Amino acid sequence: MNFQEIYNEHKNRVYNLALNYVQNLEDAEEITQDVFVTVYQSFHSFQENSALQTWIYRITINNALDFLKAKKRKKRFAFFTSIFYEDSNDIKYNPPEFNHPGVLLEDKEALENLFKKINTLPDKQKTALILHKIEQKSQKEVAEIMTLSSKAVESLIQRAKINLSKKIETNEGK
Amino acid sequence: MDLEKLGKIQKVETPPFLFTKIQQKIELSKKEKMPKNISWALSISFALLLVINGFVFFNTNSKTNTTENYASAIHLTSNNSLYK
Repeated sequence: MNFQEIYNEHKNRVYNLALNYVQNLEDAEEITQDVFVTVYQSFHSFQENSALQTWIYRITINNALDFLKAKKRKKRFAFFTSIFYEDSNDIKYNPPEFNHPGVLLEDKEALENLFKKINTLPDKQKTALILHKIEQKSQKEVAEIMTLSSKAVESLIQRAKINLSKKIETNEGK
Repeated sequence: MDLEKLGKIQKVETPPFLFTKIQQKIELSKKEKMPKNISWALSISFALLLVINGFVFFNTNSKTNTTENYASAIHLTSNNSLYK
């Protein structure tokens, strides 16, 4: 299987998973590019002790999480520069709009709010929830991708749901 | 809390020309690798140079000490007084 064949087979999977992490097209495209560059560079080290799809899922998850961490760092830096420089409009970080094309119009507002809460979950809970609820993977498949036991995945999903409920209650209480 | 709405999110197609952009990034990453190799080679050369210089420096010092030892053994001295 050559690189283009791998790309054609997995591109939508990677792009959609990235979109579920960042909820906008531009960032999802950037992550997708980085994922396939990594796939190209690291293919020689792929030891086939898991399916290619699983390996690519893992690279996508790691790249998406790294991307989000880098964005948070930029945001913090922009905050500090705005303290010291009054006219720092060109440095300030502006978070992109919620622009997930896979979301139906009637669900847009509800999902935008839900994603805001999902984005605040710890990485493992977020990943387990995205893979299980959005990517529709079984707990066993999620466990294989995250190299965890099924029980651990079940626990992560439960904790994610509890955390989301608490955040929604706090929001409604305001 | 309606997590079931998450299951209704539809899959989207990747944008066109994405593969071309990926190929460009791969080519760029290949070019960036070269300068890193050169900087590593330079760093190692510099480190080796320091080690060799240090070796020569300490070796020279020990030779000077040997010369002084010989001089004192045969009573050679820088004192020009003949009548001491």
